[in-house]
Amino acid sequence: VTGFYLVMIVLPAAIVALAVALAVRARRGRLPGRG
Amino acid sequence: VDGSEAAALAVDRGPAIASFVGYLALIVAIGVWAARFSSAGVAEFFVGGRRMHRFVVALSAVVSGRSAWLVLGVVGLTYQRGASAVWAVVGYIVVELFLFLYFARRLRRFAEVHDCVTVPDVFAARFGDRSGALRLTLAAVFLLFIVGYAAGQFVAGGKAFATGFGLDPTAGILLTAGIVLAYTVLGGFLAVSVTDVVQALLMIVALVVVPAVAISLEGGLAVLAAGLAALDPALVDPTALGFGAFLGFLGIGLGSPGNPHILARYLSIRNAEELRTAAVVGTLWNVVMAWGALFAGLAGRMWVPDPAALPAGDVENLYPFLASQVLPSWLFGLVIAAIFAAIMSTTDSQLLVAASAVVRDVYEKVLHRSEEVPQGRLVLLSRTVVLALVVLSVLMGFYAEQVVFWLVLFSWAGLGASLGPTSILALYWRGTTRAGVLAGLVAGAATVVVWKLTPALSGRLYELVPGFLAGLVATVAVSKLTRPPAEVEEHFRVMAG
Repeated sequence: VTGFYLVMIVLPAAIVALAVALAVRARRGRLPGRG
Repeated sequence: VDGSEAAALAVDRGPAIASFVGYLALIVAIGVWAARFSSAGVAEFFVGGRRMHRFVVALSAVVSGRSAWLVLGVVGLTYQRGASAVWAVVGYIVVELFLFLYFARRLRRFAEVHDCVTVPDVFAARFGDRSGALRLTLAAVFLLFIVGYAAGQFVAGGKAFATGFGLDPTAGILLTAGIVLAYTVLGGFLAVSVTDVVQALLMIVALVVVPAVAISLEGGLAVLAAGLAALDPALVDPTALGFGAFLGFLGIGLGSPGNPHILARYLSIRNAEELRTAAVVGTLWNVVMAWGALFAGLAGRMWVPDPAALPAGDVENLYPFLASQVLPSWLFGLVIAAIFAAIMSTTDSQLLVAASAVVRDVYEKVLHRSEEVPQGRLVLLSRTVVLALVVLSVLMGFYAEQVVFWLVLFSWAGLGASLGPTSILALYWRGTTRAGVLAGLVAGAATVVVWKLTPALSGRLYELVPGFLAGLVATVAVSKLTRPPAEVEEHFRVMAG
């Protein structure tokens, strides 16, 4: 049942966290001096 | 008692029909409101003048990609397979996150500089398509697969009318097509995008409410997990699937960069940098809708352990059936509306993108390339083509009533295997050539068709995976033998922003 909770609860949260992290990183990448 | 009656009997139809009709009236009103803006020209009619807000683009891009396949197909799949169905949603959600953040920004920057309205416009500018062969091939691939896709959606609409309100499925198909036709012909891209926002709100509410109420009535998540494990341990095991199924499920995500109605959303945003916010909003929406569908399938399995007890014994009727069991009737009407939202938000975008291929790419840019065609005539022609495509899809739908999701997944694969690898290479590999793209489009589409029609192959792996690989290999191999366009460095500077 651990696998069940991992894919049903942790996985969706992890995907949203990844989206936020990548979006923030993409923003930083565009600061002057960073190319 | 036949299937459609079983579901409809459980609710009081009056309030359900009232809330459903209220929703339809709102959608058509948006079409009327947007009609003036969309009549200005083809850029307005087909990409909203590239002035769409980031939230509109985020929601429109994800709900245009999520059709009846999510609310009926994934719910049914989860009912049958349990937690291992999760892999069918993970692939496309992660792929679309990367599309929003990287691919779409390059595409949008390039489109602005070269004044591109359609995806074939982008290809023509990127590869200097003077003969029009690339535009014509793209238009042919779009039409081949999109008409089948739209036909599948109309049939799903007919099924939903039958299950929800006990209406004859044929009348349901015609009603679904009539509503989509009305607001798409009138309001063009603006109406399609604004209605997508309404549809997105409705879908997320319905996909959260139904499983939440069902699971709480069943005693909570822990009780559900224990109950499912007692029923069959495979239902709570996310690894209970073969490698071919796992690969095929994740491979569904390969279709997203190849579905032109999704790419048209990226083209429409008012500023490429706003795609970062759109990525977060779109991913959140994708995740909540997908896990709502998964939880609905699991809760449904606990509620009705025997599939024979479902309307018409069809697991794809589970979602509306479960809603009729656990919700008050006015809310049930909104759930049926959400199924229509999924259907209409996909079909309207597809009809527009197919019409744009005919009017912008074939009529304006190939047949009349040496003259200036008045915008008014182009918009009128676009509306006529949308009408013709609806008629064609409805006719095809009548012949294909039994195979809705077969058609949907096949069309998703055909577009994904041809336009997917070629669009990625066009944006990221300097060595890509026009001949390479032509080869990739043909190889991808042909592989999907052949694989699907060979039972020994299609039973083992979803046709999109081999089709995508064939498209990729053909594009690279032929590009290696031919010369890239002279302006490639300039193109890549534009894309990098």
